[in-house]
Amino acid sequence: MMNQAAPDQVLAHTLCDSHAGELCRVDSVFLDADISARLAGLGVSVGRHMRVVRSSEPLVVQVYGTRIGIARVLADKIHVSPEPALAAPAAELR
Amino acid sequence: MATASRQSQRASQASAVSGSAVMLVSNPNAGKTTLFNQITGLRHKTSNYPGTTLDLRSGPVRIGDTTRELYDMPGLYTLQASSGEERVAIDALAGRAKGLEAPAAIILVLDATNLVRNLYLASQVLELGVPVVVALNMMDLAEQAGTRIDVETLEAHLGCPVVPVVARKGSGVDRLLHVCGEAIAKGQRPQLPRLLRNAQPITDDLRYRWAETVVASVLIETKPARGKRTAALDAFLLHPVGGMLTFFAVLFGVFYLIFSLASLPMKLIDGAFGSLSAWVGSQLPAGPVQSLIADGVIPGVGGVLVFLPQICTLFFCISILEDTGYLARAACVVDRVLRRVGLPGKAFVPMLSAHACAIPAIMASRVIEDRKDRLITILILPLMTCSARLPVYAMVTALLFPASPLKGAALFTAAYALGLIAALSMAFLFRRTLVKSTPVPLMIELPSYKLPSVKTALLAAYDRAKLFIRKAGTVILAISIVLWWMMSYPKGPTPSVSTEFAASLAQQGISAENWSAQQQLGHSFAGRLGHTIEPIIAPLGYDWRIGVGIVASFAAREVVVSALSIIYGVGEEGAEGSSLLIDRLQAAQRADGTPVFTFATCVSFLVFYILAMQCMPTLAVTRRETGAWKWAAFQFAYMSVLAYTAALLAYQGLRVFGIS
Ligand SMILES: Nc1nc2c(ncn2[C@@H]2O[C@H](COP(=O)(O)OP(=O)(O)O)[C@@H](O)[C@H]2O)c(=O)[nH]1
Ligand SMILES: [Mg+2]
Repeated sequence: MMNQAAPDQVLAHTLCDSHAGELCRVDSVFLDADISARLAGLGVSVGRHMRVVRSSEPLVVQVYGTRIGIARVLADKIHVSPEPALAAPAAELR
Repeated sequence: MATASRQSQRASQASAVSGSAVMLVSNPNAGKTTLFNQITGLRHKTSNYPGTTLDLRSGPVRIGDTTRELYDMPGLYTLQASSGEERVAIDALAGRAKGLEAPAAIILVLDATNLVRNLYLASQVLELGVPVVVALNMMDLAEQAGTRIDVETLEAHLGCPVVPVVARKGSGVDRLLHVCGEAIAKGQRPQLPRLLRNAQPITDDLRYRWAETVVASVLIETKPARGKRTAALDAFLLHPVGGMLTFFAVLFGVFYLIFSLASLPMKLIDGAFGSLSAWVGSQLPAGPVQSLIADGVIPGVGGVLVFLPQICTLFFCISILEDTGYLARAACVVDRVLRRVGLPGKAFVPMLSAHACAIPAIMASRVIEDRKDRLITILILPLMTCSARLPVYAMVTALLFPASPLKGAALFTAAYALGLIAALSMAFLFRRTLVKSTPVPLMIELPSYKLPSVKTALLAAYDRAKLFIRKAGTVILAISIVLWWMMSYPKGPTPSVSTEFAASLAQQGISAENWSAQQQLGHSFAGRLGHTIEPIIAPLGYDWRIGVGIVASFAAREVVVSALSIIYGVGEEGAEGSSLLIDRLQAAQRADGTPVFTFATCVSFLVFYILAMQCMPTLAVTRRETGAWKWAAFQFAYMSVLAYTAALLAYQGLRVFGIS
């Protein structure tokens, strides 16, 4: 199901590596089509800004004012880049 | 009041459905069901979508001059999902589904407090080429949060009419229907937004960028948003320890309500069917017809309907919990645990329901999107202790520990635990053999906390009750007729009881009437089957009489208590858990004079009833929900083998340790 391996990126930073409170932007999603489509519907897709609210299992992110719980095995396949705290007003948009 | 009268007005005008349908679409939790209830009131029905397991709620509604059917579609986050119930809904929207023509219009419900994410779905719905009217819901919450929305600009961006509504209060609903009528009359297809019209293909990124642009231009924020309360509650409710404790507390609360609130109406239903059966028995002339109705149909149907209060209570509670937003948190907490045995977190609602009755539980398992995940959940659900097992537990407890409530409680708990452990173990096993995949990982919206709506909960309970009666009712009628026949035929010779014999019976405490009932059951097909299977069940410590009980309760497990009552000559009244039955069972002897119900036999009997399928209506529902008799047959087979093996191990094991 998730056999689509993420390419070996030296600096790959996934949602799993993010700490609670961190703001980040989704760079790429390495998951099968159906799961990515569902995640996209929840607001988790390439280009979106989100705040990691809890880095537990499941991980909780806040995107567009709603909270989404994501299993860590999925979060691990979502590559993100951290955003400086003030640079992402979109994350707080509703 | 005003709402109620308007509602009845809408409903009374709505007579024969003529035009093609209108479908309600939205993200989950945007208020679609609330709006639907507001529009159709009690006039809706739940019907099966042709050829699938998708149940659609629909109701007639007067739009313009035409009465149309309004459909409450399942909540959708995207039209791109390729599996599950969502796929069926998406096909229906696009008019691709057979058996249901394309909708005349779509009412798209958008949550005003969560616009960007809702507009993502909107961008896909607008593409369908069907007239769309947007119901901009939760306007009250948006205002409370200090946001205003420029509706005209939003209309311009979406290229379709937008009507602000508060579904909970019903405001804006009449205008919504009016605007919808106009849109249908004009055949007004939405103009695809410019940003999207020219792109090929339209990427998710583009859709979200469009949504962000729209929101930036229509949202007038007057107060900064809050969210502290949600964060604090989540920190607690999602906590590995605090969350788990809360979960168990909530679980306990729900069970408490199921068993306390429902007990009085259950007694009433039970009593009513008892009197009805007695009354019919006294009115009809004695004979097979009287016996069929009074001893077969009425008790059979009553035996199922008696669980209705529990089912209503359960679904009332679940609806309240869902409405508050807690259910999604609970799914997160238990996902960690359930995943270890190969079940998805969302399986917990069906598993909770299964402790009342497996039938609504199997229907509730539709919340699980993945087909394989759902199949495994359905297969294990009947192992959980449903209410129909309680009479059996109570009987065995009374047999084993008549004088010790503490030991009795421990036995009950152990019985519940065994059911649950068996369910989890089988899920684990099926994951490794039957479907070799891991459950689809959790991804779930954690909606903001809200005060629950009692009206929604009452309607949910009402819906479930109707569904249960329809699903179980049809099967149970057939079953009770067959069972009655098996226990009444062939007729033995009418025994003539001599005065001396009656006296000797009376000495043993058996009335002549009960004695002939006992003889008749022994002579019937069920009785003969009991004898036939005796060699098979002897290793479990059972004699042929228990065999008759097992045969009689083949289709409905709770029947075993009344069947044992008859076969031990106590008469039907013995089924009321009277001490008479218990005394008689304790006194029962085998041919060699040893007691039948030894400790080991009791334990083995209990284990058998915890694990055995013994419920025909459940099998019918399994077949319906999985779409194949194969799975119903498999469920029956594995549970029977499991029950037999476990009972065998229990009996023989106890004997090895010198306990008999
Ligand atoms: N305050 C407020 N709450 C609403 C409104 N509409 C729905 N709700 C609540 O929002 C929650 C989700 O509604 P529901 O109808 O179940 O949404 P569905 O998942 O789209 O069917 C429930 O708690 C409703 O009571 C509204 O206009 N105002
Ligand atoms: Mg709903």
